Amino acid sequence: MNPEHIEQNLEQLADAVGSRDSFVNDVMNRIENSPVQPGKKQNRNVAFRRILMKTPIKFTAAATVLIAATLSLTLFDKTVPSVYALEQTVEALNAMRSIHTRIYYPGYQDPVFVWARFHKNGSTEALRVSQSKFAPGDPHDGPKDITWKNNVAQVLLKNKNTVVDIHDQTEAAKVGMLFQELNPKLLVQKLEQMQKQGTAQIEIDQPDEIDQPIIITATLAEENLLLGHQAVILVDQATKLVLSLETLKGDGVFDLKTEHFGMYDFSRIEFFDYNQPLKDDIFSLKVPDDATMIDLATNIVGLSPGEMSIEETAVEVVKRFWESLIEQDYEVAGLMYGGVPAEKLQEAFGEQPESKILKVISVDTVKIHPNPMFKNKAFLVPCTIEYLEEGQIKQKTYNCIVKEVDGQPGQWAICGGI
Amino acid sequence: MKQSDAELVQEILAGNKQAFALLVARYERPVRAVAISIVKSSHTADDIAQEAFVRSWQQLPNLRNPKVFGSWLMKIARRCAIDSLKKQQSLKYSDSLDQMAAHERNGRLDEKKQHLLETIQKLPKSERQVVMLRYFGPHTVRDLADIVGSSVGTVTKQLSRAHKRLRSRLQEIE
Repeated sequence: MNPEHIEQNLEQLADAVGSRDSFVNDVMNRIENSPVQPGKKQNRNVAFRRILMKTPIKFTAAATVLIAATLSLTLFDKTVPSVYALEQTVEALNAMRSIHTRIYYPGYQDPVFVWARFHKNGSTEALRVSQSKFAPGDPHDGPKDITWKNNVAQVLLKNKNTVVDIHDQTEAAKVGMLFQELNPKLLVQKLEQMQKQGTAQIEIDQPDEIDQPIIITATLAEENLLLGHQAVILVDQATKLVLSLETLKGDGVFDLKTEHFGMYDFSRIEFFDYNQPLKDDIFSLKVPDDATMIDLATNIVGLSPGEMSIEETAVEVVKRFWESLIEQDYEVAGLMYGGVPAEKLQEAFGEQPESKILKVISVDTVKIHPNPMFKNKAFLVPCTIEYLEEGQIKQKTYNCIVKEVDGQPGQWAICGGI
Repeated sequence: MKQSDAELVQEILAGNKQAFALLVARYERPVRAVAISIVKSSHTADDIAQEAFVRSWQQLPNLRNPKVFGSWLMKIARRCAIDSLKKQQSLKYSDSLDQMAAHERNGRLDEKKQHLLETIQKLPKSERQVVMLRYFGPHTVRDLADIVGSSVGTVTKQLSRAHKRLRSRLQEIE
């Protein structure tokens, strides 16, 4: 199957799916014999009354039967789910104090686990995020644990054995916000609001069976970072609590998945354990004794543009990082690389005489990082370096990510890609 | 000019059963395709498709917005297919395994077609609907615009985006 000939492939598929000459007749015969016929919605009690009065029985007898029948119909109706509306879920979620969430992305080996505790007013009290194995080739920092409490965030980068403390209230709030938006109550409220504004079309499919979830399909006029352009929410019929959220994203302009920029065109979030007690220690990181600590509150890292454009600053940061490594100035290299301690870089680049950086061959044109989460405040800087490995000269190309430093507006430093 | 889905639904609710026959003819293949994408057998898909149309007929008065008939019907088809799959799984214990395997082999699409079908099911709803109507029914783009109640320009754009998306997803697999 050649993807370039997609129309031809679709035509062949349609032939294979096939149709049957007598299919329409068969369906029409079945509906002819169907006990339920559509038409204007009827009040079942009225219809029943009409049938009852056609029978040759006295009015008094009919009245007695009618009372019994009405009673039985009323009782019967109680077993049928009441008509669902989004506000029922918002109301049910008013009592939410804690939740466990799992986020699934295609290509990732494990879900991202999130635990959250909420104040009585619904605001987030504490968060814990745990990301384990990532897909091969992913440029992220690898497995990490994040805690967020009292507007202080701590990130443990497990592969790098490094802890980043984010004390700056504004920046910590941003970290918190990333995950607070996973609050199912906020999600449903957002949908309600968008529906009122006419920016989301919402369809609700409420099955007759009480054990089947209600399916809410929201089609958004404009793609939303969290909800994508289409979102499907499953709601438990009995409790009205949200069970899962599936989102479709992507506009086909660039393929985030292929580029491994951390955004995916499909994700699934499952919500579990509403109001199950969570121990305090889940919201504190267990920091290994030998972990490197990066405190973004005390070190001024990276470069500020001064006379340069931001793009030129990004290039300069990358050049200075590599040149500092060549000169074995690990202090400066660390500052260019988001505040990584000098000893850490020395350990990585300077302790094997037969393995070292020799020269910067090229630094190419800067591109804005396409991940919308960076809101155009991050760049990709492609660069090629020459290095010595076990006595052999080799070359390698990196796509360094340079962004504005969290908590240090106006400072730009490398945050990944190496 | 083709009658839109919404117009046909209104005619059915006013008592014109033949209008439903037109919808069955229009959606036979798309409904079969949804069923095959789930149960992976064209034999079972025929029963599922019939059941989906019968259920949609019975539930038609509950459809609040007749314009979305197509996507609503696909949801019913999905539900019927999933129900059928559950039944098949429980039947497996009573059927002879050889019989089951032979039956499944005969009604299966080849792997690539099955994959394309599943990829179509993952398209955004609006794109999925136009792709299924365009290729699984004898409809021109003009017909599609009438059926779904959009402009020719919108439908063309949706088809082109769907092609692009399908192409790129298939390339990932190739």
